[in-house]
Amino acid sequence: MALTDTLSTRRHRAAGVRPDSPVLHVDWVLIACTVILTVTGLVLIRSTGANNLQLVERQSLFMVLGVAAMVTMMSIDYRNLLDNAVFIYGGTVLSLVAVLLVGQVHKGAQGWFDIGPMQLQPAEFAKVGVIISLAAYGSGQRNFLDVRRFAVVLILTAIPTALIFIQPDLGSALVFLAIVFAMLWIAGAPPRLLLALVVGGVAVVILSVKLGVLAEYQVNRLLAFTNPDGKASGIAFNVTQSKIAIGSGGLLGKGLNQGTQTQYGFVPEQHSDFIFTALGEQLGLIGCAAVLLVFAVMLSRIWRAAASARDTGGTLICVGVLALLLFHVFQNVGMTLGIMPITGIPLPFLSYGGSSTLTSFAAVGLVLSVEMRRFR
Amino acid sequence: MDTRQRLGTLMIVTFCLFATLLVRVTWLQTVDRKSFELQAESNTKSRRLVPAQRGRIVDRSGNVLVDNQIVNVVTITKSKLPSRAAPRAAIFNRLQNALGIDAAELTRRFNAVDNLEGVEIARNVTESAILYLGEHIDEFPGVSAVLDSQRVYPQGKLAPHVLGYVGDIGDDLVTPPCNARYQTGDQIGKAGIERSYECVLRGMPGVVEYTVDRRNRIVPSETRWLAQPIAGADVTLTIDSEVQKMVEKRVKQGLFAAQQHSGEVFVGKTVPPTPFPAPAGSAVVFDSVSGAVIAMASYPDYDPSEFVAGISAVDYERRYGDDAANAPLTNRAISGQYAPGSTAKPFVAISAFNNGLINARTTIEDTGSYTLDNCPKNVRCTFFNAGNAPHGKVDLQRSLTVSSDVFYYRLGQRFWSEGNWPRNGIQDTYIEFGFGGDTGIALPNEKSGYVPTPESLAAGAGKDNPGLKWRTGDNLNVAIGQGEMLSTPLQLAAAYGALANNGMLMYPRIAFDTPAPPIPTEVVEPGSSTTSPTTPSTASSTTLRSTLSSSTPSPIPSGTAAVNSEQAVELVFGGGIGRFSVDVNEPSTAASSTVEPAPGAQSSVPEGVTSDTEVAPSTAEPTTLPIPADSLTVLPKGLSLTARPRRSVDLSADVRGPIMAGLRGVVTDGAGTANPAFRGFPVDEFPVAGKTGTAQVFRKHDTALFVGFGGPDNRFVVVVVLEESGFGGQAAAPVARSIFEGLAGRDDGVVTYVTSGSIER
Repeated sequence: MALTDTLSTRRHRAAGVRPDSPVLHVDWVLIACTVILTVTGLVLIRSTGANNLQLVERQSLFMVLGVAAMVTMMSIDYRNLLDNAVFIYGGTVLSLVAVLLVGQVHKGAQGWFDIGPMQLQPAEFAKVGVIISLAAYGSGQRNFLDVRRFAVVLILTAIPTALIFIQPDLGSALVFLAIVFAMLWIAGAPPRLLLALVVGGVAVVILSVKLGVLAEYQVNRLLAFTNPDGKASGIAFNVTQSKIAIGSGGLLGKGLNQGTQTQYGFVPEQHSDFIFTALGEQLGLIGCAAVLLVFAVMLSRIWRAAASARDTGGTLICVGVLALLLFHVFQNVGMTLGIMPITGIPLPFLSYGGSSTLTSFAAVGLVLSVEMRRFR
Repeated sequence: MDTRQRLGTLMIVTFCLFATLLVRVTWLQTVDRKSFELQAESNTKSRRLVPAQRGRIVDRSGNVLVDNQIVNVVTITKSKLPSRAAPRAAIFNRLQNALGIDAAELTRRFNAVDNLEGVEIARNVTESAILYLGEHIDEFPGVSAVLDSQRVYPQGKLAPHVLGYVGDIGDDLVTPPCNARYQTGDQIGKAGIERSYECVLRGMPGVVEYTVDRRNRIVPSETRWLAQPIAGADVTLTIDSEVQKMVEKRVKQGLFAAQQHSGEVFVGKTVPPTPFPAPAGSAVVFDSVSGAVIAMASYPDYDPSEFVAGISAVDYERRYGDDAANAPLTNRAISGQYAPGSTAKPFVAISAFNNGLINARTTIEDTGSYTLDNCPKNVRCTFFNAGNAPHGKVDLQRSLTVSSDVFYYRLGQRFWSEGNWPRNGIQDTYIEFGFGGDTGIALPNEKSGYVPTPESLAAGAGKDNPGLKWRTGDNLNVAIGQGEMLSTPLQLAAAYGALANNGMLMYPRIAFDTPAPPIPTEVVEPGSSTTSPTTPSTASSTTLRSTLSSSTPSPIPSGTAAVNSEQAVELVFGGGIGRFSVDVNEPSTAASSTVEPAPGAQSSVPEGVTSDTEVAPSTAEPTTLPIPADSLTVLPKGLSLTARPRRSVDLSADVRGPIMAGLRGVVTDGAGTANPAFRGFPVDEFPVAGKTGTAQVFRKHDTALFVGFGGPDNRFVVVVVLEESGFGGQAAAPVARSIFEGLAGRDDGVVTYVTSGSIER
């Protein structure tokens, strides 16, 4: 990196650009990761059925829009965003309230705005909104969080989380817990408070199952994880078929457009939440390891951005995005491998879905915005 | 901890989570891979057996007795039918109009089978109805038309007991007669030749592997043959249709004639005569030289075509079950067991001669009754001839002609009492001639009869209470073929065949040599223990399928023509998806190796071994007979009949001469017991000889028997057994006479009950 930086710096210096100019410090590796993953996703979406060219076309459009969102986020100084975090937070909460009032129900949760042919899921955008809001609050706090400030952070997080939770969308709600946990950790929260947070989170999940807040299918999904051979619900079928698809792929996979699990539709939601099964069956361990490696590179670059950020706000933004992506990847891939419950959250960049793709690109754009401005 | 340290922790956590995923995915894709591959395969791969064209059954002249017919069958797939009652009822109402079958009846048939796919609701549906359904397929969701191959009987109700019938495999699935590839719903031979030659007729089903998607729809491009079906071979019977027809008619006529007369029921005292019920009978025409069965009739009979479309359990029980009148499914020629009566006398004479009790000139004074020597008190000691008729001076030849019981009572006592002879000498000769054991004919459910001995009596066989002591009277009964002794008509045919054939006892044959049953080609199993490839749950019983959505006429030849080896049969699976062609090939195993199914159709019995364990097949090397230019022995081209001699019995010319003369006298001598029945028979052109027999059955009318042989070299043995029809010379001999007339080409078509002349058992 140092070498490329040096070379590009020389070139730009020759063009009369200042050495600390943000355009000289764009992390092209991170950008490459997003593109590689999204294109891989397109190929996999195409492979999941004979008649889903339309899906590929739409996902291509989402990718273009996503790149545009990423560039837009890069071009905005993240400090401006932090300064206006009140409005961002307010807009996030408003959108979540609105979707509960006038939104559409898909997959059992009232979480979508139908705008023409597009379906927007405000919970996805809320993730970026909350990251910015928490970073803005945390950047004023100088490496120390007392119980009061800790509580403020929790409340700030709890409001959008609760709004998403009652859609009900358990998976997305859990993402917020991961984000706030990581950001509190980096912001210096005492471990005992964080432990309390984890215990509280688990309690909420258990209570919500017991009290029937969740839709029945969500409960079944969770139970399916605890009892994968259960015949009671079709959800266990999902996990089983998912593992069959990946396991039968073997080392090299069955080849693109070849696997029976993928070709004959045995894995439900394969183009969206279960896209990793298409990867596992068709491209095998090699493909899975490669994709995980790209994700690892991506997260390490985000980590580097967090470490090199100019200020606490920038670090917290990067950590929030890192937590967001890490949770998504681990939860989603773990679900397909049968080691995590089915909660229906997409695999960033690979899964089909407009809101998810836009959010992922925007989040990475946010990190890029922080990183490219680390010298100024 | 400062921020940098906490970032470090975050990095470690991230690394650990990724490592977890990587380890897990590696585990699934390497260690567990095989298991998941099998599961993936069992998800999509399914197998279906495609039955091969079943072989035909033809008679010795090539007349087809059992053929195949391709018919339209309408089935309903439950899973594709609307689940709500109203639209479902509407479909059945539309089917009522299309098929002309009452909707309630269709519903009943549909509900009678608990099967998710392919429930048959109509068979033999007309082509126009199928076309109508095809054109209105949208109105009939879940309804399919399939082609099925079913048995058809071009000669009608001819020799049903020999041919047998096919039916649903049912419990036979547990231990099928052939070694491989049966599935639920298969048709299998249930009786007769269909049963004993199942493996030959059936051929070998093909195995189709097809791929289904998540919704169980067949992916046509992935359908492939794992093994081609091998068509079953035809079985050529030794039966001659013309003779069979004639014999069946004669038996019926004989029974009808007997029903017009009356006789006494045997209760041990004189009772008023009552009409003969004459409910059942059987007859066999047997070639003593080759062992071929030329005709085998049993009455009452049944129509095998009734079993083609399946018969309900209630109907079956009522008409053919254990309690059904006179058990019409029973083949009395091999499963009917009767006391042989006087027809057993030649073998007693042979036994006495061979053991040295008598010679051809030994005579006895027959006064009409016989009183035991040294008679103890309170025991019946005096035995009578039938009608107490005295026959005067009787020698071996004469004893047969007039059927002197006294002559044989005497022999029975001497064997038992004198101590100079083997006490079981009579029984040993019976057994030597094949009594008391299966004949080994390739038909199922053969009974072995029973030759009582002191030992078997003590062991409790033949009587309700074991431990009984053998008395002289028992030996007298054995000597006249009465008492506990039992024999089947086919045993009598084979035993008399040995008399006619210079002492060579032959295994009866019912079919010419057939190619060995095909051996299944190796098909790699999917390997998963959770799947049973030969019985997939979606398996369908139908042989040849087409679909409503293809309105093109079936490429499968309709009518009764069998699919020959050159024809490519196009098989179309239901659902309108799969379509592929099949070449029905000749059996892959060359016809050069020929086997005969083991007796009794039990594949576990090795070839050539019968339940008669004393047989040593190796002593009699099979030879292919020179076939004389006789109309009954001309073979269809390319067929062979491997003669299977069973044993050469001890029959010297010194004893055979008087026996043959005595048997000839039965027919030709004025005092012969069958002479009235054979009066006017052209014995000079077509020599005949034989023996009458009358089996006494307690509380029933007598069973009439006649066993004889005639024609060139006494080649053709004829056995006639009529239950509860009177004396052999009255009821059975006239039937035998008319059968001999038929064999001699002088069929006058009349069976007359004999009311005059000598009376005997």
